Amino acid sequence: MVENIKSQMRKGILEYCILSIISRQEVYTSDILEALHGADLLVVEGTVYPLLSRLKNNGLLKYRWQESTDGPPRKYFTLTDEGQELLAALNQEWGTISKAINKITK
Amino acid sequence: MKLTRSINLQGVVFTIDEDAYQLLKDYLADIESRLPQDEQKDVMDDLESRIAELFQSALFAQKSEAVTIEMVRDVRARTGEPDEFGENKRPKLKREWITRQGIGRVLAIVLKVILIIIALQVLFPVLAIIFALLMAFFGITIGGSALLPALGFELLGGSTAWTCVLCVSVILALAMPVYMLVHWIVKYSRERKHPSLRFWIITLLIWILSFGGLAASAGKMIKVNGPDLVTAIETFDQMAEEMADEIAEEAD
Repeated sequence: MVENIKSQMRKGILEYCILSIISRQEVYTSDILEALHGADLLVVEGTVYPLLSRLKNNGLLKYRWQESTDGPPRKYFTLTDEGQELLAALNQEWGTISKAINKITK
Repeated sequence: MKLTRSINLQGVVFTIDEDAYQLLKDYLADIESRLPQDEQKDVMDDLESRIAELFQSALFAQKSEAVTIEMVRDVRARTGEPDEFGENKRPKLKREWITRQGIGRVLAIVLKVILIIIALQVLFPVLAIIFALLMAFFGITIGGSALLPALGFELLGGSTAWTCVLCVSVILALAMPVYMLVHWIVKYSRERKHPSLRFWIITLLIWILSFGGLAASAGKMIKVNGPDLVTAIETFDQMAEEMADEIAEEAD
């Protein structure tokens, strides 16, 4: 029960975090995974791939292929204009939510 | 000594142990089956690329040349169980039932049902044809020669072609309803679906045509003088009396 709620909370903010990571610079999938691992936000990587695909299909992300010398070709992601707009809206929303949660839980 | 295979993950070729290959193949197939159609290619490509990277790191770290089952398990623990990728689209009840009963038992039941269906499909039409042939034979010989004149019909005799038309018509007239019924039962038990409208139209047309053939051939081979029921009843009475007399004489 507790784990399920925690997992749902993390999943809910994962899209926002992914958009935020990609907005900083052009990144490839493993960079996103490392950033999420580093922030202790990711339990397993499997949740990220469907999200990336969905964000791309909704026109929020775009990618280009780059050959790699030590592995398969890599997808490098950037935000589209639509993605930038959504991120700005989410930043604002997160500020509101964060204030509300702090107020309630104090 | 272990059997190995060669696989290609997003352009990177790996040598992999047979047991590791089976585990990886089932894992990827399970994930793919859970993904929506429009996401399948993207997600599977990304996942395969990631697995390729992780295998390369593991092979380098362990100074190994073949991917082992432990490496696949490690990768799986990192990338996540298939349910992290989406809901299982296969019906739960069926899977649980298969697990509980054992696949061998399920296969045996399936085979039995298939055999019964085949037997029914073969048996019913064969029985229908035999029955129809018997009916046609007795109808034409006994009925035609003894009963029809008594009922006021006059036998004209007929060409071989019309006799064939009559036989085929009788067979179809009797066999088609049986065939329709068997096909309906088999289709419904197998697919939980009723036969298509096309099936009903074609079979009913054939059935109706068989009656047309029956009427046409009978028209050519039998002349109707108007059924004389009184004569027919008198003839049957006479036949019955003669039979009774014969029995009585034999008894004496």
